[in-house]
Amino acid sequence: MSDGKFDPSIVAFCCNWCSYAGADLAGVSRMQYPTNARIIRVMCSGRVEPYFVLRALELGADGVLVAGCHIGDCHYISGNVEAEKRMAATKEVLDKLGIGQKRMKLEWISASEGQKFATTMKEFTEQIRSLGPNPLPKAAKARKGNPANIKQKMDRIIEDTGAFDCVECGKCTTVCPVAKYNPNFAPRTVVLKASEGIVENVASNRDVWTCVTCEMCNSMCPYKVDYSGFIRGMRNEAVEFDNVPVCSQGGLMQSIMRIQAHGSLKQNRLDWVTKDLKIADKGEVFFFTGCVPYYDSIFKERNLGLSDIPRAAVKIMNRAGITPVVSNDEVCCGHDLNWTGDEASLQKLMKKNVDLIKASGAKKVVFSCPECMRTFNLDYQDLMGDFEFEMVHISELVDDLVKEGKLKLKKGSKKVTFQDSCRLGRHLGIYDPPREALKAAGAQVLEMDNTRDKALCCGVSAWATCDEISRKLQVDRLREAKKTGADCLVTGCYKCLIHLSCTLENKTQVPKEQIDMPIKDLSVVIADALE
Amino acid sequence: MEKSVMVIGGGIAGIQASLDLADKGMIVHLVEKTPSIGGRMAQLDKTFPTNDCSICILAPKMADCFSHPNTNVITYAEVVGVEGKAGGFKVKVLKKARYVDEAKCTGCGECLEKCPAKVPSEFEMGLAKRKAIYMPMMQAVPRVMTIDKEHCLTLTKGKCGNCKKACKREAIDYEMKDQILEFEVGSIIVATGYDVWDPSSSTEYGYGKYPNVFTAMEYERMINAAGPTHGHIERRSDKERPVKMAFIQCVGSRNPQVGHPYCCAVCCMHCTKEAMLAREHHDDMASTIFYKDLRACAKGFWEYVERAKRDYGVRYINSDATVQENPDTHNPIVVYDVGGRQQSEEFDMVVLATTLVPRKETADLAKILGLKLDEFGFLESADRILGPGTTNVPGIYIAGYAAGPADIPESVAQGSSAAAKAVEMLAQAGA
Repeated sequence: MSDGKFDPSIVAFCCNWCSYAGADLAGVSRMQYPTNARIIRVMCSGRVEPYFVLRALELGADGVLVAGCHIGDCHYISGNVEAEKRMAATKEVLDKLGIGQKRMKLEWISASEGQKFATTMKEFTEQIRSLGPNPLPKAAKARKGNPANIKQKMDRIIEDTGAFDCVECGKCTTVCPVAKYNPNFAPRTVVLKASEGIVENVASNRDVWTCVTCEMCNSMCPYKVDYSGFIRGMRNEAVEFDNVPVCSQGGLMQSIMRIQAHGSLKQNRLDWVTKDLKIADKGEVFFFTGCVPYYDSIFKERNLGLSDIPRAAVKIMNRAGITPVVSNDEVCCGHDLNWTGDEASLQKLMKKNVDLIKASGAKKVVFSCPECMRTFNLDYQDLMGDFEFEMVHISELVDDLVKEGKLKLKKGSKKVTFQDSCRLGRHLGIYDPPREALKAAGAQVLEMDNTRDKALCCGVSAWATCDEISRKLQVDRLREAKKTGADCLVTGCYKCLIHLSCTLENKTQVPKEQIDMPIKDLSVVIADALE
Repeated sequence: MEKSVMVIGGGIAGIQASLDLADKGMIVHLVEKTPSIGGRMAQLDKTFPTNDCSICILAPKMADCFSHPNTNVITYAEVVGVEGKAGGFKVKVLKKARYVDEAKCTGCGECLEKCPAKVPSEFEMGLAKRKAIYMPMMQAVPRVMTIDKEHCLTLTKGKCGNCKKACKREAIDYEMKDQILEFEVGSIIVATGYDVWDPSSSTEYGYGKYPNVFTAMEYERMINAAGPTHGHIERRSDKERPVKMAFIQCVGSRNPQVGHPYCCAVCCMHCTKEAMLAREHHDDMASTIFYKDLRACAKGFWEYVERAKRDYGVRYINSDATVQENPDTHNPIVVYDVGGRQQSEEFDMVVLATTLVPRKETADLAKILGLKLDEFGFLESADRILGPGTTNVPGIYIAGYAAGPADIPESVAQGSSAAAKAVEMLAQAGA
């Protein structure tokens, strides 16, 4: 870039067997091609996760090339088939984020195609050159903790969360779903170490990432110690010492969220809005959809019908005479970043969202995602003071509309059971509205053994705790659901739906017939019952 | 200036206060809400730390209190209004119609056999049925029957009349009406006692959901020879005798989350006693007590705990606990924490030492009397350090559990203390 002309930086992931050999051939054959690409050799194009692409862009690459063997030639039989699916999803995500799929390319280059490699490099470099520099701001330097301050910071967290009140009675351990399967974990031990002044473990303590933050401990603690708040605070410190979570999808979700926080791109997140839905730019009611458009792209293969959920919510509102504001400029609420030690990004997202809602003139914000609602209700208001707009979960809205006679639902004879998500239940205390809404939709609500404030967690939180214990928790939960004899498990949370379905789609140690049942979102069930 | 005192509440604290006052020559009006005096102590099987039979040491006091020439025991009655000030209170008492003439009834019990209506017995914590005409317990004082108008077929539906036919003394009077009695007294002592907290709202203990989870008061009735099972410990699910017993302490107490931050002051000793009694009943009984902290602080209490460990094989585990159930056997599974590790163990029966809370009616009564309540809902003393028993209203004194957590000896001492204070106040005022 010495002459002031834009010279793109490109990251090229090349498979060991075909494309890397293709690059070699181009080299030994003395073929000329631009030097903008840094090649990273991978064993298979199937190894390239969507996260690699996003992370490369986040770290300043202007374009990303993924190259592998031709379909049918994969040395691992079908790695490239997987790569094709993954990169298709990645392209969708890039489009939705506003980065644009043209910044990445997937190409099949065999070991004998030196010429093709050189041509691809030339063409892609020109393509990126014409697109201009990566629109994302330069990635901020990772925060580095100062060991001298850590004691002081931990003391602050102890005070904020009432951790000194712990009398070591152990009740938290008895109800902790993780402690049931992990003998080395107990909420109180995490707190105890810190309150005894042992803080060096912030850099090494993995327990801080073992917690699923379901708040079972908080709701049971006689002395109301905020264990999950403590964990969240400690995570924010831990990441500064490179004690970081092992995230699902390699960290893709967090990357998407960070890009929304730090970039100022025009998203394309409204592809789920169909013509029959009435939405507005300004109005009394704002419908906050959450990250579902992204999840829909990422989990497209799994046919979870995630886009049906916001559609159902808008359909319900339309039927009750409400035309909600749905905005393309909505950004992630920051929940998952906040719970993985990145409060700074939460604050950026918070400002964007709150400004957006204020500009829309909305007096009420409707959420179909309990995590977003928790973040607005507890975290945003904690940082910004109380909002003037009201915040309700879609189940509360439905319950109100039915009671006011504004929404008519068909009677049915379905038996369902309801999964209280941690955020909707223990974090926000909303238990009855979803049940009332389901009853209004003609469903008979059967309760699981552990229900309401004792409900078992779906096993994963903030895409950071997925491990073998998660699977056990999911199996436990599905077993309970199956035992009720219900036809369908209804959740009010996207994440519960995604995580519990994952168990059904994969191998488990229990026979499938003990856990297999349809899982549906509450909004979809209600929308199906619209008259 | 009236040389008389009203005592509200006929439990051990109220009985002690009444006896002391009567012995000092005061006229005592003892108002008791239920059909009999005796209170909670009458429900207990044994007392700690001496394992005395509770009713055996209480019953003589009940009888003395009733027959003392200076006492007027008004049972099945409530205070509904107070006027005046120290030295001259005018108290309105609602004497509820018991539909039985107290002067004629001998408590023979012939009516009981004929009464067709069965109701869960309050005295037996619902573990047994009583009739609509009843005496709460065998040692009831006064020894007269009471008809519960909610459940009596004659009073609700106008048909039956069996008890009237059975009563040879013609003591039954279905026409009896509630009446308002008025008393002029110089001083008032409030000793309204406690209620047993219902743990079913704390679902982590499974009470009400798992059949073999009991409250300590239920267990207390069960091991009592005069109780609903004649002293046999029985599981609800199969009537079998348990062998492995778990006692969980601090259920609902020391728990700001459910609104009771205070220590109930009795459950450490209470559980120890109950575990010992289990072993006294059967040699093979193995009891485990789950505790937050062992607060066995009074004279002989720690030795009592040591004796439980040494001679009765009681196992103590320092952990709060929650309960699950083995659905096949209905055996409760206690989940607890040892050094930050979750453990679980199956038992045959779980007994919850539930906290004790101020009676619901205490707040209403405090309003009538103008008394302050403390942050826990107990009656507040004028000075917690130097003036326990005195209140914000001169001439009104408090005693027993209504004033805050206390065990039996403490309640007795407080009853005596309140009596002495009342006499002192009246003497100074020239009564």
